[in-house]
Amino acid sequence: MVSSFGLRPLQIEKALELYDLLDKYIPNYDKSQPILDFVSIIVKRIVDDHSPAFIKAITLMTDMNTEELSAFSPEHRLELFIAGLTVNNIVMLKRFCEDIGYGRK
Amino acid sequence: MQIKIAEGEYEYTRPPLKPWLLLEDKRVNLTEAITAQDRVIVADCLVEFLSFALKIPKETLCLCPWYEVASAYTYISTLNSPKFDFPFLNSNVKYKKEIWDYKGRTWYIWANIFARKYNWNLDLIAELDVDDAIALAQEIAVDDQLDKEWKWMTSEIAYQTKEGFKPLDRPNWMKYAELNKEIPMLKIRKDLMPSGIIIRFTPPTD
Repeated sequence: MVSSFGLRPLQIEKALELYDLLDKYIPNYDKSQPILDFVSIIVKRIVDDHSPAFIKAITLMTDMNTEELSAFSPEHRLELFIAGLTVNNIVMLKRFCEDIGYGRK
Repeated sequence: MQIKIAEGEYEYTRPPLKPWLLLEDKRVNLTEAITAQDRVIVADCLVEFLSFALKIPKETLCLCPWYEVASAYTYISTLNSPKFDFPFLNSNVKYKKEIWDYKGRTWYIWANIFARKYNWNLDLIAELDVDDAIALAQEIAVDDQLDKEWKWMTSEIAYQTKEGFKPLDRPNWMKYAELNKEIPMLKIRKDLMPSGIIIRFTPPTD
């Protein structure tokens, strides 16, 4: 699975790193909830927390560094973030990590 | 059942006792890594687990999308879990490493249980169905406990308490639940009682 941005799904170690970054910002997923609403909650929580997790997550998912990312507009960065979370099925990642007991205690 | 991973399909069936135990050892490593919250080791243990179960090189699995690894792990774990709810496995006893432990000892512990009790050889024990093996191990443990209790009952030391006979303690999984346990009456010191004016509730009368 490759997104329109050329994003590829992460390997297991990187996926766990992504979960480490976003764990505390990911809400419980309600199946009736549109995925964009779900992602916007994550973004809002990151912004409220003044956390660098947003940029770190994009660099992790795109293999770009911070300088390269700074050339993009905020809208484009947000698109990359959403596309990355979609390609990596963040809902499934959260469920898997919770099932095996990995993550915040 | 077919498992799709690393651009291929792999047939997986629940293994007999020996490979099942070896795989469980790998799950223990994973649990330890999860407890330590070390993602590098967690990822390595997941890959190691699947590599052993599906006979796929670790290098190939490391390159797979994470959800293929996760799905395969979940599927294998579900398939390998015991079919019955064995009380023997729910003893809630924290495992303490013994000085004579070594990597891979689990299989020999189980082999010893069956070889000693039934005189079976290692090949036969290795090929046992997992549920049969756990059920038999539980029966052996029950027999041993009841045998110990009998010996205890016939020894003087069991009667040397004020209350008379003191039964031999059982492992937790062999204890009956104390559903109607009587709450003991305790005397509470006056100065520890709630202080102040006591206003008693009187129900309204019509």
